Amino acid sequence: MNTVLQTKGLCKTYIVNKRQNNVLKNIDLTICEGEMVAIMGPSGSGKSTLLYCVSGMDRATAGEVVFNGRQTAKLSDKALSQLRLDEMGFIFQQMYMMKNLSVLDNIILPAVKSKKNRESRKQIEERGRQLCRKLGIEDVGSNDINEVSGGQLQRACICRSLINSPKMIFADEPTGALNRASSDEVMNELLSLNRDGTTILCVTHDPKVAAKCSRVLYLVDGGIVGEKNMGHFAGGDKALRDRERELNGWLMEQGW
Amino acid sequence: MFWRILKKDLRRKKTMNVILLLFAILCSMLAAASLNNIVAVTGGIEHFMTISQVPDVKISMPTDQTLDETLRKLDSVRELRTEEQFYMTPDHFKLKGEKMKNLINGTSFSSDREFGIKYFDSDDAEITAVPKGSFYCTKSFLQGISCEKGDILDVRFGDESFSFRFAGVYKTAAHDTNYASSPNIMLNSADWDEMNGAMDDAAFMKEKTLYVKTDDMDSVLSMAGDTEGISVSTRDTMKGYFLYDMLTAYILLAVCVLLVIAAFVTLRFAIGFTISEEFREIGVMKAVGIQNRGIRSLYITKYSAIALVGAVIGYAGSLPLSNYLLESISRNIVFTGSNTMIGLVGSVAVVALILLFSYGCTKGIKKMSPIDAVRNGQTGERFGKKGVMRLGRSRLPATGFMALNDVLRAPKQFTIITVVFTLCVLMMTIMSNMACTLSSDKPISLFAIPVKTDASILEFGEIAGSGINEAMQEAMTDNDGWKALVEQGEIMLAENGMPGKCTVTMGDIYTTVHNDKSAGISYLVTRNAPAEEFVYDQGSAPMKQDEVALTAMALEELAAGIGDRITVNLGGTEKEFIITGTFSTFLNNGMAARLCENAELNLAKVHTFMGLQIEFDGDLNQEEIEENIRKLKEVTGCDKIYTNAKMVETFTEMSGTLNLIKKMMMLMTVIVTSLIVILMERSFISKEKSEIALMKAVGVRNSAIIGQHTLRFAFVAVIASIIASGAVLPISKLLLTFIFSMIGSVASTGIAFHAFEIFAVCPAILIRVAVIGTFLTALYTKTIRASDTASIE
Repeated sequence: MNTVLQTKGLCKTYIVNKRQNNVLKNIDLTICEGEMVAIMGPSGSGKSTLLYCVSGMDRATAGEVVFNGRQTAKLSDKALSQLRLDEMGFIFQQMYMMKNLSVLDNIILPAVKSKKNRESRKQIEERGRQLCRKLGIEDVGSNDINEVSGGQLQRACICRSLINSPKMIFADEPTGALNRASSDEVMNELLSLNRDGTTILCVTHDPKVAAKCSRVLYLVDGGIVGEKNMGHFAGGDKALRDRERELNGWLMEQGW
Repeated sequence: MFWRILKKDLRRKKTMNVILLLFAILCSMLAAASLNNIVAVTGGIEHFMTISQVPDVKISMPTDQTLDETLRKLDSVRELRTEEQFYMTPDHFKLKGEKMKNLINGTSFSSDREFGIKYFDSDDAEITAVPKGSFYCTKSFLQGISCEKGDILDVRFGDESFSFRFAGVYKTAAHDTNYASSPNIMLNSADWDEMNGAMDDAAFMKEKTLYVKTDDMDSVLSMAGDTEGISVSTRDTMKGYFLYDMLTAYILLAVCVLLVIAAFVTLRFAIGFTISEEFREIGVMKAVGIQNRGIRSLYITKYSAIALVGAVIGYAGSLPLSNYLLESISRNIVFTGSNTMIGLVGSVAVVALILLFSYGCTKGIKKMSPIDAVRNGQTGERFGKKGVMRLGRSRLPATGFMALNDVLRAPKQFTIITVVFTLCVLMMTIMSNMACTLSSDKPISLFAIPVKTDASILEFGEIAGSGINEAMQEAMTDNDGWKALVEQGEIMLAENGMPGKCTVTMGDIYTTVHNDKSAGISYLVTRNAPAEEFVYDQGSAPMKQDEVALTAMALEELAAGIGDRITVNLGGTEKEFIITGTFSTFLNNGMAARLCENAELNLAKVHTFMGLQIEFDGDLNQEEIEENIRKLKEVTGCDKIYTNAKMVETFTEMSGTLNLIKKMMMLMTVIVTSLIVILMERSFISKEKSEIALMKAVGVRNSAIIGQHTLRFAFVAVIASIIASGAVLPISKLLLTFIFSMIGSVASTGIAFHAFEIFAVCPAILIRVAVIGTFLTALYTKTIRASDTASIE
């Protein structure tokens, strides 16, 4: 399988009150096409920082990040923006959206900004509608963002992350702000996308979410201390329960 | 804890607080300076008259009249002082070896033997004597020529020649010192006697001026009215000499009021905005049990501190600004200094208003539950209107769409910015219109000159074949006397290939009675031009000998209306007139009347004489009129031939000052707009931080975000410019009419404008400042990182 994302000796350091705080320490990581990887770890272990550094939302202090064959450290801000726009998708814990745009407009905004597909506005809008239909939110497309539920809004965020057909989706606790039912719906959508070939890197606290991923990385104090290959989840409640049990056992070993 | 929160707030929101402070300073400075200015000017004129010991009545009369002796016998006359003068035309003078080409009127020479009032030098020191061989003069004598102490004035008549050294300009409260008036030279009494003795009494007009302090003004006026060949001014009419100084002060006040309104609207917006940003913190405070009063006092204390510091600094800044604003008028009158207490009242009012604003803005805190506050003021109920624009259907580029959509989705905020920007453009354009109007022919009818006039000749010597005063006298000796002047004028025009019609406007003040009310009203007659050629606000023109049109002010004073009959004492003869209409004028402070073309006047004591007006035959354009005036100057050898616009400019002397103020206002607008833009944009950035971070996270470039923010203000600036362009003419007309009505009786006035300046230059200044200011402020969005998306609350 092709490598989509690779890091070598990735470090991130913050200076707080003249004191050096090493958030990420020499992280080596490889993610291949079609994988769905979960990053877990206690609070403050550097999960989100790792996600932001590998996705080009933040710059690493040292080390290398290679995304789709390109070293992100060598890219200008402009080129990094372009990379995020065309080849990456983002889902956050909070359903951040532009409050002045409707749900559909929020979804298609990256496509309008991108020059990747050279489509007309009409074509972009049609694609946005198709995505909405696929994720079951076609009825709320013209609504304002304060007129839809949290689950619908998170699915809209997923639509937005997919609108430019990215190579990889980065999700920072995508179900963290949702109830169980909504959380399951969102995870099922992500699984479905993964099955269709989209690579996903996801930060989560929830073993139920991580159990659906093909690989789990465990981070403590800025370093990867454990890694578990789970294999692709084919579906089914029993299989999921078995995966959860297996994962929980492993997590206990890691000090969860 | 309370102070710790406050201290942290002041430090954390440094930029916003600094801008709020700047606005408080600006408001305080403008409020204090403009209040100070208006009080200083209106009160200053009264003060100047008091310290100058201006009498109740000033009477000018030929030296052979004996009214002074009669008046001295009156018990009611407390004091009577006399000054003697002789007059000379400007062709007798050479200042610094040069002929004084721009001097319009005959110049009177007085001595320091007895002063009718107190006179002051340019340093405000009282003049008690004039050194021998020296002279002081009124500002009007120099006609703008720069003159140093010690410069020589040569006076030559017949074989006699005198030289005097310039000692300085003197300030007088009892003489008109505008450029259009007769200048005065003050000499040492020995020099004056020597000159007076050397001149032929018949060749030069000699007169004396009586300064009368009396307890019974009516009997003095009545006695003066019965005497031939005199002119009378009361203390009130003498205040009219400072008409245009007051006009400048009122215009400045009007513009300052606009500026203060703009600054206050911005302050109100900024305070509301900053408090709404802090809802979450307010919610937390409420949740932990801090009482509403405590939370409100936290914010009120903060804004009080900002307002207080701003008011103190602003007040300190208002002192030099006041002095600058009063600089032009202090050239004419003696100030005791500006009234600092009034300025202080302005600054205190600013503090009170800011406190009121912050009190009003914090009102919402009381109504909100802690959880509402934590939810940024949202109660959970959402009834917001849907946006009208759709990105998928719009043809606009994404950045343009986002900007326009933002403006339409936050109408309240952007309407406030639009209002402020509109006021900013209006400040510049209104000032431009005022400066333009006061150097245009639009207000010419307010000076009692026919609107059809193409040129006015203010010196008649060459036309009537005699000196200026002789020509005037000839034109005013009897009711048909003006005909010779008009006839000769028209012959001269025809002979020189520029045929036209000449008119003459003159007037005098007569006591007028209606029922039990009486007033001194200036009666104006324009010869050789039908009275209906003038503009009337109500009713119709006087067409018959016994008809009259009055100003609204005169009607009010007499408690009369159109159709009423008034009785006028025309130099001893009583005559009845019927009122046919009302008109507007500056003359005699608005206490004026217009008679029909061939009305009879008591011509012995003409008070107003506006020169000879020319209306060239045919429909000449401006260039042709200018060419004719150039020819006329060659033919007559005199420089005092003006177009209507030049006449207004010369009479008001305000165009220069107003242009200066206009430039100052443009600079002020640039500063105010920049501050507004920085304040608003910083507010928007801090409110939209999460959205900016999100946009960056999904790959939107910095340049697009900066472009979106800049475009929002550009849209608003363009809308404001369009609104201001539509409103500028009616508002200018309204404001100018109001200001003019302060100094005369004016119901309406025409306004002039430079279309390019008010519809292109001024809006362009605002749009440019808004765009540059927003762009530079929006560069701050670069510091927001995509990864901030998750860390933003």
